[in-house]
Amino acid sequence: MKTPIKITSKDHHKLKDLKAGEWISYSGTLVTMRDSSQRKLIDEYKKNGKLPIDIKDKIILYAAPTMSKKVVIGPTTSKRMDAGLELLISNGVVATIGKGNRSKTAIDIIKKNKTPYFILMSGVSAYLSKYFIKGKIVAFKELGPEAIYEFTASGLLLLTAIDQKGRSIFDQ
Amino acid sequence: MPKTRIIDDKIIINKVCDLVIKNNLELPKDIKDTIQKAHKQSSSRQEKALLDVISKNADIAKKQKLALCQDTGISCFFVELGKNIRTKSNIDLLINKGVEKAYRSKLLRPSIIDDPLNGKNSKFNTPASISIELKNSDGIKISYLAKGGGSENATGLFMLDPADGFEGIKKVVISLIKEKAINACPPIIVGIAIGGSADKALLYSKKALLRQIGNRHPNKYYAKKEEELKKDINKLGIGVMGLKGDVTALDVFIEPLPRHIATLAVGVSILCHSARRGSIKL
Repeated sequence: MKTPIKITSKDHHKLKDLKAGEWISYSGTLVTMRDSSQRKLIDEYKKNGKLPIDIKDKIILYAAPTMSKKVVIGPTTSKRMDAGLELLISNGVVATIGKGNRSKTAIDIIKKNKTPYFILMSGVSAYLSKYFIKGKIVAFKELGPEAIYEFTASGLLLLTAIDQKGRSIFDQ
Repeated sequence: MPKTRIIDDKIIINKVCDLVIKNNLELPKDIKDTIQKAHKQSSSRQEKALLDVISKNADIAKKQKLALCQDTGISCFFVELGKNIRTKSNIDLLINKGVEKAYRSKLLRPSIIDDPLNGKNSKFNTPASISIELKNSDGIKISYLAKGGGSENATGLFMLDPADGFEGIKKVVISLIKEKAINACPPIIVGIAIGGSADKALLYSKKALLRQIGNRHPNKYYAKKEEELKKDINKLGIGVMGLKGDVTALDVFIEPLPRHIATLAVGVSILCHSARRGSIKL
């Protein structure tokens, strides 16, 4: 494995240069999303024409944490969230993180908007806990673990799974 | 006939609570050893690094009392209840109380929604999924399996024709794994029940996941088929996290069941690499 490319919240422009198969080390803010929270986000958007939170220039992590003494978190299957990708990206999201492959429609959206998709190692949340500094709920507290959280990650290792040209590590 | 024995409700609640917490913080020894063995056998540097992370995760989880995986799953229980055992409250109620107690520790993430379409988080991961078998033997055995959503979504049920035989079974199992294993956090453990009614095929495919790695079926025919399928699955090259490699299945367990003359049910349950399961006997 080559040395990962360092990327922080301040240099999201670098995301566009990544190629599928490249590892990055990310430091910055991550916003969680998953089944119930994304569903609610879509419903609120349909009702009010706008989102309850600002996701401009943010990276989405498909996940829900355990809030014990440390942040215990890991990715969930991204494919289930494909239906909401267009809305997230049209509201400014610059990349998404999860586990597994994505649908053809999602890959087309990723390519069109140059918003890469990363995968994070799954099922190892104790190991990952040291890469998450702090977190807070930013919306939908009533959903419990599925609330939308904002976390600060530090040096989190991510693998570029689908890049801005639509190339995917799962096709190689 | 052994003498009737009354077990205090509190004992069961506390034992179940401990079982749930311990299994979510400590990777079973057979799984840990198998991951280390796979690390030696893998020919890919990237895969070795990922297997190493799984081992490190187990060490950190145990030492720092953190969940091995944030998805602590549906709490599945398989109870073998001996004829001589009595409890004041129903056993399923006691198990649910034990699960609730475990989740009150806040170490584990509650993941159960109380109604499938209009529900909310039940807060303590209840109700658990409990199956109870009545046994002639003495005592009670409670086995626990933390079944994450990713691996549960990879479950398969196939109603084949009896004439399809083992080759037909192999075909559907391989095709299911090709399609779905990637989201079940490979390396996986595969439980397959052949025969039975549709519901029993699914139940016993899941119960098969409780077996220790390398623990072959006592029937030599099925033991051989377990080895054969394991080889075939690993030849698919899906690898850890689906990133291509040599390690896709840690083991395959088959449970044969009597069947109807017209049916050949095949239930397939898949367990992720964070194979959290264990049991207690009272």
